[in-house]
Amino acid sequence: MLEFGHYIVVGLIFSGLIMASAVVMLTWAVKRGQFKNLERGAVSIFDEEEPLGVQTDYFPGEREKLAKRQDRRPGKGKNS
Amino acid sequence: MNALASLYTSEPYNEPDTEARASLARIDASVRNVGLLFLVASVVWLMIGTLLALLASFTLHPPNFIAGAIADIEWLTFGRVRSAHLNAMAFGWGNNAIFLVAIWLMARLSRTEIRHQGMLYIAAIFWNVAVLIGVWGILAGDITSVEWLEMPTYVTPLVAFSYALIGVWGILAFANRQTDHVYVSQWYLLAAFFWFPWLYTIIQIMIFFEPARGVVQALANWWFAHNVLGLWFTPVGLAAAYYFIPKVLGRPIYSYYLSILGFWSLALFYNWAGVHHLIGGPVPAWVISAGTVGSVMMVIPVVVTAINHHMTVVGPFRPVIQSPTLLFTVFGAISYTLVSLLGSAMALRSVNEITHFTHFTVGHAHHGVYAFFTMIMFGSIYYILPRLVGKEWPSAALIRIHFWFTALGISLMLFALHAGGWLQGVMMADREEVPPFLEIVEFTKPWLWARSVSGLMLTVGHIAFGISVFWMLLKKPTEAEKEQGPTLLASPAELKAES
Repeated sequence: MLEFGHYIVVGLIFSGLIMASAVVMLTWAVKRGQFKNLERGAVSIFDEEEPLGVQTDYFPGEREKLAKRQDRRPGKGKNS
Repeated sequence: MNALASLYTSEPYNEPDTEARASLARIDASVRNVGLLFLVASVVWLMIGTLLALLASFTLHPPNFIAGAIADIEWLTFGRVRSAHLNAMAFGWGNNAIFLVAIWLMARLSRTEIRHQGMLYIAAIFWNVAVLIGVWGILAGDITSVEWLEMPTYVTPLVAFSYALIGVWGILAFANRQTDHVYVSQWYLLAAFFWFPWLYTIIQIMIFFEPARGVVQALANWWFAHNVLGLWFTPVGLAAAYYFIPKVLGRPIYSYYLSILGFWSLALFYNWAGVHHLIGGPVPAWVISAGTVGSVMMVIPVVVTAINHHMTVVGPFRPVIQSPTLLFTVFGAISYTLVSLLGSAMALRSVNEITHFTHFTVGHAHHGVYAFFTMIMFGSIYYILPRLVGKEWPSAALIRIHFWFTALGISLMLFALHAGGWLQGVMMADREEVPPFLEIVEFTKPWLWARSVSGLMLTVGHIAFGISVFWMLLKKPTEAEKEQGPTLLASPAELKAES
């Protein structure tokens, strides 16, 4: 067991390291331009395969139902 | 293994003009084997945890046949069963689901096939062996009696080691990324991976290996336990919500700026909140106040996240009911807002005076880990699994049963525990004339009955989920699925072209 005073020092060292890591990551992000173009950031999860505007999850069998409905009502597409 | 291999379409989908599609399919395929390991483990633990939950719940009210008829079985006593339930759910179901979802998200967000799978396989095996031994140990009586750390210390090295492997893998995966932008979900995941080992190591030292003295141990305990919720489960849940909500809808997050603000304010404030578990305890008042302040400041990231998710989803409601992932994820996201706001309120001394040591707290805990975290994990699995195995979910009916029984079940549980708990607390806090304690206990019994009923509803939902998962894993892919992946990944135009 350490002396009381030593605990404070150990505590300060580690909490200092953690705070420093937060500052480092924030600075890193700013330097790397992560906060520059926020619109680009928001759409970074889309691409040619899963583009904007296309719904990517359905109940099983739902897409066929929707495709058939689109067939019967031309021009009233639900998810274009 | 060959027989099993034929069950999965491992080739990237054959799509003419889309090289991007092949790369997403390859990414998903690279996660498949280790992902399935974590998935199966998580579902098995979900079932074990649910059984333990039913045992714990039913034993608290008549006919308490469990304690009564089989009274002397120590393994089935509430103290052990309840803790076994917590650990099975948190570290068995929760962590395996987290590893599956986090690995897949990291792969997708880094836009690269995952490497170093060996580390993940070892981690998966060691982790689950550790939790198995740990839960067994709790039931056998080696429970440590420290909340959220009930697993006996002989499993600590296993847990720490397997976690370390996953942490290192996370760093390598991030270093390997092929994208230059770090999406907000990746911030949350990396932060969670960074924070958890710190939490676990420190607390094992401060409580077991070089124990701190007296009340400091209690403070450390709740610092740890609350941070498991706030700096481990919550970030992964939010990472999933921030990815799947826009992904399913095909719409970007309403305000990316707000999401970054939400992340950093969570990182700043959450860590302080743990002390709110000790309000009224023999702890210096300033420490409690700091905890209250941190808890209330959490309103900032919570409201920011709520605005973001709401504004992203608002508009045509159709997609939400057309997508299993969105149903579960939106339910989870709304629950996140509610549970956090309630939690901030509960951190006020005046409110805490009523709610502390009542069933309200239990309800709040399940609000967070179930209505928020678990529902989002369900939603994530509904999105991920078809992409891992190249097959469609076998039955929409099973998915609907899963959703409705769990959504209604948890709502009933929350109502029963919050209402019952609040009234229980009001009675206990009555300064004029406190009712006899036993009377208060009798009062809570109908509420506990309702909780047990809700548990049965959740069980039905989980069984439906388990059936869906194993049916999906074991069924042979159809010809169409073999050629171009499950139809949910085909565009409506392609579907029409086929028919």
